[in-house]
Amino acid sequence: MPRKFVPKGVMPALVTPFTKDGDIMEDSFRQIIDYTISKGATGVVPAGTTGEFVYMRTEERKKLLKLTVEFVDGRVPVIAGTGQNSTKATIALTKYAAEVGCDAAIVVSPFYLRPSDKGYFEHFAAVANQGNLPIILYNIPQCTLGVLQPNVVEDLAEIDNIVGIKDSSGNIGYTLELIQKLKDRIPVIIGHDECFLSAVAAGVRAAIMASGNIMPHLWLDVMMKVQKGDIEGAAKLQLSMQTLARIVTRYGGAPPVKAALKMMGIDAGKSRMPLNSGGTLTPELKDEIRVELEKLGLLKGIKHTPPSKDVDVASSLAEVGVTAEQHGGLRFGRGSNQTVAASIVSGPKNGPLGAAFVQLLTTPRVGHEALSVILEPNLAVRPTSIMLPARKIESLRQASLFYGPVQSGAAKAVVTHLRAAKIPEAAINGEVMVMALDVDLDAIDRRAITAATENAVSAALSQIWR
Amino acid sequence: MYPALVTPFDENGVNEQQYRALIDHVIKAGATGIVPCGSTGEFTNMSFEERLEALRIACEAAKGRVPVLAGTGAAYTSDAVKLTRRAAELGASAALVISPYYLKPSTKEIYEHFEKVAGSSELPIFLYNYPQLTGVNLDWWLVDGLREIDGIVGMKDSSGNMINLTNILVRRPEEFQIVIGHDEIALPALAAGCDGAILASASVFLDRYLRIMTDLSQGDLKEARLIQRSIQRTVRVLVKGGGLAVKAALNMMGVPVGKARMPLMEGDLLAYDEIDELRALLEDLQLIPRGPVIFKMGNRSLVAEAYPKAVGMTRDVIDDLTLLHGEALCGEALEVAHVDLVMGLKDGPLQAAVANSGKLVEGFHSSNIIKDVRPTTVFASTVAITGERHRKMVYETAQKAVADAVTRTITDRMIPEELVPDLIVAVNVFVHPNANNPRRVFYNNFRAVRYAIRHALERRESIEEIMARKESARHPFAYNP
Repeated sequence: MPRKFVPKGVMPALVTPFTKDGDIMEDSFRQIIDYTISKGATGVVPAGTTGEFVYMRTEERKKLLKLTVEFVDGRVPVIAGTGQNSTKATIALTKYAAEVGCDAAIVVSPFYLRPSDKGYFEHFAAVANQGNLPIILYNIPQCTLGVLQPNVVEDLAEIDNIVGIKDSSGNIGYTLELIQKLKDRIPVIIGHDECFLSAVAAGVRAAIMASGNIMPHLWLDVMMKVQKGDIEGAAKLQLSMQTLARIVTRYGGAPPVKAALKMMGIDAGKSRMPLNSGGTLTPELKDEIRVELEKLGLLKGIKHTPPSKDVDVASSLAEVGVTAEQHGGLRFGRGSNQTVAASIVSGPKNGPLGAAFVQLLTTPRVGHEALSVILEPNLAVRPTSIMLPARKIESLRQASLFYGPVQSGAAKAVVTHLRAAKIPEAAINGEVMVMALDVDLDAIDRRAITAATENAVSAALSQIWR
Repeated sequence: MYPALVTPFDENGVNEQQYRALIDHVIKAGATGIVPCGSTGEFTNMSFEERLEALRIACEAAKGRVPVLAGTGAAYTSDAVKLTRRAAELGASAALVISPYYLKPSTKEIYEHFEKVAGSSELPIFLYNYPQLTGVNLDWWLVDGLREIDGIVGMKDSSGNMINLTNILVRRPEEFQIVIGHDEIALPALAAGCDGAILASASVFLDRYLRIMTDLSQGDLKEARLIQRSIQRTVRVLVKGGGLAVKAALNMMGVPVGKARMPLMEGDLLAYDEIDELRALLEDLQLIPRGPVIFKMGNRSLVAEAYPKAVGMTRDVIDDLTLLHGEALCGEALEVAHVDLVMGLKDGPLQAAVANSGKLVEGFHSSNIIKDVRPTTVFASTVAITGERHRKMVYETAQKAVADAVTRTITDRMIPEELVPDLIVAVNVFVHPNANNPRRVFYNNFRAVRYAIRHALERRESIEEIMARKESARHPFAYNP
């Protein structure tokens, strides 16, 4: 009989680093294992969902399991992902994992052609009885499209060799049903990063998670705080990780984790095709991950430069040939706060500002592209207005910040002035506005930027439309 | 072919005059019956008394011409019973009863609900299955039992589920009537043996559905398919928006039916670009009235004689062609198109667009004049090009879309021919660096430019709409991830 295995603590669902051509990058894999163990990981889980097992053939999975045991070298337990579609193949791979020295196997419920309750039971029972390893059941209906019903799990928990169930469903009602019904039999392992605290607070003592590759120590800290009774501290920490956890769970698991590790200095390679084209992991998403890693202190913070109160739309106008002598008939306004600085000009369409407006829109300076001021797409404000960033936009996330909360806040400010009937009818249709706005484009809180932009633009507009 | 009628409202309740006019409109178009107070009629947003009022008007207006299939369903059995009895008194020919919704009853309770309703009046009852709204599907095996209940004579299926529907069709006795209620699969459902249809979009183009039915009855599937093809895109928008969209369409066509009741609102469930889409599709079906729009330039004025004047969306006079601005977003995912567009007379500020086109200045985006397009069109990308595929997507696919959309505006007859040589259009397009579906990039940019030109000419959205939406507007990038 294989020895008993008790899952505990935080175990990363290891990513499998691949080269562009799809080869396993062994050195990188070793680095990730070393990193996570150094950060307190209580076990490692190769060839799971995050490890892209579904893109690996059995021979490769065997190689990966063997490598893991070799690299870990007894420091922590190795829980091998051995789930396959067919029962026979799953048993064979589980036996192999036992042979090479893995401590347990995690077995995903069969997917694509999937059975019903009885078939699930027979599958797991057979693997537990014939696989020569302690077995962890694995429920992830987002991927498998089938749910392991709690009553099936209860019956499976009677089998000696079944030592836990990992639930990645993210369905807290279901997780708690398992905890309630399995109490004293087998432990529930939380597999959904977003629900970590909720599960741990309900008594869960082990986790296997994708973001465990990135920050196992922080998750362990949450767990420790709960166990010490510091729920408030635990909640604060969990919520600080919540955005990153959400990005990881909702954008394919492996691609965001690999991007994060790479930023942190570990080349975790690429995902395999078809998950590697930048459709899941867009450039904007990468930037969001970077911001979150900085926030969590996992990356050195970049320097944040506050907005410049000296931002002057007149200099943007000068660039397109509007001289100070042509400023007659134009009205300028300024407003600023700690987050945003705004400099705005309004003037007749048929004067020099009209031509400047067209030129700024059609041939903008790179990184300072002008866009319409809109409440949302298809809802542009009037007077017709464009806004341009005073500091250069360097990335798509910065672009989404400027053409997101900044755009929204600027539009709201215009609407406030429309509602207050401060802008005369003739100006609504006869004038255009150009707004130069300066904002820290690496700021985190978009809601705060929207509000600050509304405030600054409103102050500037109040000088124009008294 | 029974249209599921929208219910015109005014501040006092049901707008009787508009409702009667709508009923006349559909009967003239060939409706063989009408359905008041269905889902399209926003029955859940009406009080009990208002529903009775709507049923009264419908029965009076249709009297002697076509039968009325009254929507009398309710979540609460007792309400459904009362409404059905009153519908009988008002002269309805039958009642359409939705399966209970919100709190989801078991099949036993659904069965007893229909038994009670059917047993409480002499009115023949049609079961009504719309699981997208009720949350409960009437499975074929449940219908096996329900159709045996005395007084239940038929069923309307709006699920769009051809598998369940086919099972119901093959199991029913001949006298049990099945009508299709999902507009997008009207043709396959009728071809599979449905006896008729109750459709929201039938108020808009009843004649086309009648032709599909005639073609099918004559065995001419090919012809029926052609007609389905001609309306399918419009039907998709109408189904998505429901009564809200049907109201928007009828209003544009000049059949006034007022607005939907809150919380259903234009710009939301029926998005702004879908309203533009609906209008353009209805134009193509020749359902939008055309008329003159005057373009004024100082002392000179020109007329677009046959401008497509969707009622409530256009202006009669465009009095300032200095600098018109339109913005539009269309499409989905990485292929989304977002354009900023300015247009105006060539002796105005638009000169600047032409003067700067074709110049390559270090550190600035360049723009170019698109060859062989009238009016003169300046094209620019708002995103720096990241590679060969992106370059092609911008300068081949999107640019072609811009050219086609500008040309289309001329063939849409929105601009007087004499004005074309004097106009300049400048378009900025956004194409995501990761976009890889050229067909969608083309189509989305084509639509976005076509609609942005309309926004510019027609000053949309209106100042009133902008002011009303300050708080509820949903900017897609304004929120934290």
